[in-house]
Amino acid sequence: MSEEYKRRYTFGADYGTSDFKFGPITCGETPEIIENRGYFPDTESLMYRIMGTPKEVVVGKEIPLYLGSREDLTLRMVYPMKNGIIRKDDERAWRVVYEITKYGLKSFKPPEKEFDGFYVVASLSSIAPRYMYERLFEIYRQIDEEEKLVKAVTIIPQPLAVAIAQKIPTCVVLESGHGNTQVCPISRYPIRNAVVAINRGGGDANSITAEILKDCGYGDLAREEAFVRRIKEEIGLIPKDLTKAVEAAKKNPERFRVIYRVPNTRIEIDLAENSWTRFLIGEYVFNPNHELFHSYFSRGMPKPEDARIGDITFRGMIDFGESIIESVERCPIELQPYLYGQILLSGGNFAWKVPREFRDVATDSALKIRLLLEEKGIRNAKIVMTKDPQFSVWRGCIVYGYAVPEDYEWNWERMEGWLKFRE
Amino acid sequence: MSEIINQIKEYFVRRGYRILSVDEVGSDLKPSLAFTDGESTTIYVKVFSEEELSDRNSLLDAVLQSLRLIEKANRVYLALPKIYSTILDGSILQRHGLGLLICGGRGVTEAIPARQHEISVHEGLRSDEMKMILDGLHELRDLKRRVSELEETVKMLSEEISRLKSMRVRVRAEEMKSPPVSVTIPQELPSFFKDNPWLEILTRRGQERASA
Repeated sequence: MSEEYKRRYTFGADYGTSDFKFGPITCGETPEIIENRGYFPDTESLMYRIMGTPKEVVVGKEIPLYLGSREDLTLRMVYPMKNGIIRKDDERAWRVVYEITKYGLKSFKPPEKEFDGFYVVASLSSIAPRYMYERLFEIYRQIDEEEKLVKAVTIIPQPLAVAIAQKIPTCVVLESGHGNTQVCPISRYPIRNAVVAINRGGGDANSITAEILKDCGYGDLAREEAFVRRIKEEIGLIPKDLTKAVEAAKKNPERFRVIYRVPNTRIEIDLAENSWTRFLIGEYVFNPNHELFHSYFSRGMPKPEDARIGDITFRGMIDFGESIIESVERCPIELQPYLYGQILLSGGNFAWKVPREFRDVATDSALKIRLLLEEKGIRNAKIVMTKDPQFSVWRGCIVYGYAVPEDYEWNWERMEGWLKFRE
Repeated sequence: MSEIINQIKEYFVRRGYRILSVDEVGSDLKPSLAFTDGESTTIYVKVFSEEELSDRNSLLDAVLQSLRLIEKANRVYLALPKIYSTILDGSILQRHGLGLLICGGRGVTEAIPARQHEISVHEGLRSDEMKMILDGLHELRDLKRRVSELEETVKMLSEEISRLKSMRVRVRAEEMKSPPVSVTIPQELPSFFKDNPWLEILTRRGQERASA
């Protein structure tokens, strides 16, 4: 009976920095997605009055119906997750989390009489502090009181969900998003005291791309972040060895020359003799320690600093290879070879193009990590990119919710189990 | 138009509803789409494209046509392109219990939920149609009985397999600390469940800590 119930009413909720992915097991392979944001509308707006729904916060697909002027956006639009963390006292952010959570659950409220609430598995960043767990549980309790939609709820760290979706019980998950990167070893459980957090992500690759564009005479375009991000994705390359790649590109600039035309505009970007800088973009994400970056720091580009958020220190300059080693070496020695044997790369910051003609000097994320590890004496590491990275966490949540026994109660020491609000 | 129709179908199917053929609707007044929860609720949706709504009168006509459907289904929705939602007074629709779906752009938004109406099963049905429904109900009852029997058999077999498994494991692996857990994976589960070793690991959660 219980398994049959869970087969219909297990619910996954992935609180990503950009998107909220949610839905019950019956969604199949992919969840619903809305942007993880909320809009506090101007109650005087025409749309607000026509729709007759006096909402303080609007979330989901309705947001465009309420939008006011561009100036209003910065004031009224709230993206709650910053680097995977919400400040304890950021009431507007917590209000948005409440609204998107309720929106997600209500979207799938089933009509059947037997329905007595979902088994919800929510997923947060591996560095989310305990107060975030407490606050999120409180939100689910409140929604259950109002709507009877939550039979039980649990919260798991995103890297654990990734490992579950990828069907690998012992591994290291490297999750790299826009603002930061987390290294989390898993051996049937997340090894929480071995998590290493890095204050570097896709946003930093954007920063160096902007500097390169300025140096090449496109300073006016470098101010638009969406544009810079697009250029990064189109021209950025990960070098196998930065020194050798730059040497090859300087010797033969025409080979690496790239001219990018922005579709439907007259804008054309030509790095010309500076095309060697394409390799800096990829290298900076994985390892910002090369001497070539020093000139950018000395000219004012902010160096990735160590940052402390809650109890977690986010490391600024550590390279990805070193961070994996540091994380693995906090685990039992016996386990370490198995962890190096399965390193999973997850997140949009690992999706880089490798043009066929540059394969002698450029590489993909997996091989780059392997090379960084080899430099430090770790051989035979197996690194793989996750499949469908956008949906991995949600899928892991669904498997977790379906399989974990319903009588396993939440325990704050173990940080797992089901929390129930009703008898 | 067909894209809007597909969006609406997906919207309701993902919420557990089944599509009904509009031809099956026993009435001269037909909706664009019909859905059922398989039990007692029927949903009708009347879809209007931008081409059909050339002026204010045609919009009014669309609302009136949809209102007539209220007598035939438990919940009735009017589906409009996004642009028309801004010129329609939502409170009027709410007062009459008519739901509003806004279509286009990034999908379907349920701007106004439809009110649940009770309808008479017999309303609008001819005697031959009534007979067909009753025959169908008899067949359903028969199927339900047979499914229950099959469930009983599967349960018995599953218990037998679990018992055999635990016996074999006891004999072959004395050092095994926790009892084996049988994991039945119904075929309808998504592909990421298939051959996933975490299923067995997670089904032991709680047991292994207790036995440690």
